[in-house]
This record gives sequence, structure tokens and C-alpha cells, in this order.
Amino acid sequence: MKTRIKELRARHDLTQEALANMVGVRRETIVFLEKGKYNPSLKLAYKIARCLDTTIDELFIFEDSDLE
Amino acid sequence: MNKFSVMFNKKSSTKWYLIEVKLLKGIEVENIKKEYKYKLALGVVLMLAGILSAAFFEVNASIPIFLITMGLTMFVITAFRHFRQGDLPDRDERTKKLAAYGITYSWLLTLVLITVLYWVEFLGLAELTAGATLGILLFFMIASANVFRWYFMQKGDVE
Repeated sequence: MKTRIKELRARHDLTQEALANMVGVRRETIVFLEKGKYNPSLKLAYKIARCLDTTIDELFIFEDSDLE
Repeated sequence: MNKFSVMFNKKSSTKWYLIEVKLLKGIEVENIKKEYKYKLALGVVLMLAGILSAAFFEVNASIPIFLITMGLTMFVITAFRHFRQGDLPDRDERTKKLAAYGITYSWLLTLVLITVLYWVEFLGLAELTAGATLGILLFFMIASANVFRWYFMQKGDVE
């Protein structure tokens, strides 16, 4: 899974810690999310999408290999 | 209906959403700070109870040692977490999920250990007392759960 969190976070001039604070998670969770190493819950994905002024399907990019 | 579902049902703009998030975060941060305060106070109370019981009451020596150790551990761990995390939560959905997986894997591995211990006893390879067996299992479950949790935390997620 690829994400656009890093790109959109930079566009909104937010640090990882600020985003973590806004959505109520640890900073490490944002780090793993940006690396695509953690699949968030729907609730967390929605909260991040709202904070970054986007939608979940624009934020997370699933490839066919991710669905196997 | 919890506070988040109320929030998500509103068709508010991102700006209002961020204001709401900040307000809710303020409440959460206060709750975290309160939790830290209570834990620090409890640690001090336990240590004082241990010291006072040793000084003024004739009790078994292991009780004050246990109370002081518990209090000191609670105080140091809480202070360390507060220093490291600041206003951010020390637990979130990822850490809770990984801790749960760590405990699951630990439980499975302990089942294997119990089978091994059973066969060791059955075949007479070693003399195992009930106390020794319980001690082995207690240590193994705590240690393996923490090792698995640490491993998953390094990995990021479990698939």
C-alpha cells in the first residue's frame, strides 16, 4: 500500500508530531503509515483524510498485489 | 454514540473539523496528564506504605520490599513515559493491536512449552516441582509477550 500522507502533510505544513497530535496517535504510527508499513483502521484513515483535507481513496493507493 | 461519531456525522468544513479536533485533543491531553499524575501519586503512596510498614510495623520483610519495588517501578516508568511522549498518547490503535498480537503469539508459544514440560516430566528427564513449573511459565509468558510486542513494533504492523 502506498500513501500520500507525507506529500499532503508537507503541503499543509504539518510536522509528523502535529499530525499525530491532531488524530490522537503516537508519532511512530504516522512514520509507519507514511512508509506504508501499517494499515490503519477506517476511523484513523478517515481522521487523517479530514485533517489533510482530502478523501481516503486519494490518501491511500492500493495496488493489485496489496489485495492478494 | 461517542464523541467521534457525533463529530463525523456533522457535515462540517475541514476548518471546523480541525477546531473540533483541537478541542477534543485538549480534553484527551488533560486526561493523559491526569492519568500520569494518578500513577505517579500511586507510586509514591506505595513506596511510602512500604517504608512505613518496615519502620513502624513488625511485618514479613518481603512485604515492604515488594511495596517499595512496585512503587518505584510505577513511578520511574510513568515519569519516563511522560518525559518521552509529552502530550501524545503512549498507546494508540497500533500499539494496542500489536500488544494483543504479542500476547496471542506468547500464549501459543507457552502452549508448546507446557507440552514440552509435560513430556519432560512424563519421560522422567527432569524433576519438576509445581513451584518451579509455575515460575518457568510466569517468566516465559511475560518475557515472550514483550519480545513479540517489541518485534512487531519494530516491524510496524502484523499481517
